[in-house]
Amino acid sequence: MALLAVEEAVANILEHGYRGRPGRPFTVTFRALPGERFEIVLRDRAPALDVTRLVAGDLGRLARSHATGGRGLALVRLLARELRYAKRPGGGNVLTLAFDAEELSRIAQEHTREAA
Amino acid sequence: MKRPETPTHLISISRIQSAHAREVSVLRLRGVVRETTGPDFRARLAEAGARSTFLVVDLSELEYLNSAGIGMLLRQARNQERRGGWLRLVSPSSAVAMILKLAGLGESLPVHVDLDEAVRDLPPRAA
Repeated sequence: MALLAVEEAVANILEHGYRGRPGRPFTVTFRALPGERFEIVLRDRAPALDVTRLVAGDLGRLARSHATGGRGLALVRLLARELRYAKRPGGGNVLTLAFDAEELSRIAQEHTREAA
Repeated sequence: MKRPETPTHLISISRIQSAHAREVSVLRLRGVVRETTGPDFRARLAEAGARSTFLVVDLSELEYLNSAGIGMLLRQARNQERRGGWLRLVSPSSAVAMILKLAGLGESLPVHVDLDEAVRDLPPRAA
């Protein structure tokens, strides 16, 4: 589940930050925290853009429409407990996705039950 | 969640006749839809969609689908609807079912249990 959010966030960097240009650098760092918490830190050298200030698509509204975009960031927001943004010294972005494993399994259970 | 590694592979695009003699194309794919395989996925959808106005996408062997892939499904669904048809999803794996649920696709792109259910309410062909 956390991977899903990370993948969407990385896709966002590649597509919007780097505009699909290949060979641009980014790093993914995993940091375990006390309890069932962990953080994933994404660092890139793309033009500075604070994605936490962007308005993510509303998943409920998206569900009722045929809108094709705006889901990636909405998924990240749904799954991550917290998003933190910082400009990177020397250019680029640092995006921290904080997760709570218990909360993730609760979200998973909710959506499995609805699907049944 | 297991991290899927295989790229998207086309298994088949087949055509079936429904009870009402309507032709339906069934697109079956295996693997994952993500950044690297997205363009191929979009091409397969367009190819299958061009064959029939009614298109079923069988997700049973698809292990992962990112939000861009969901956008591609919706765009293709809109294409089909513009031509008086539809696009329907059948039998997603549990991983993909959860992604679709999380993305809240419920109303705009319904998921059916199997092919039979998906084509059951096809309108009869005009005489």
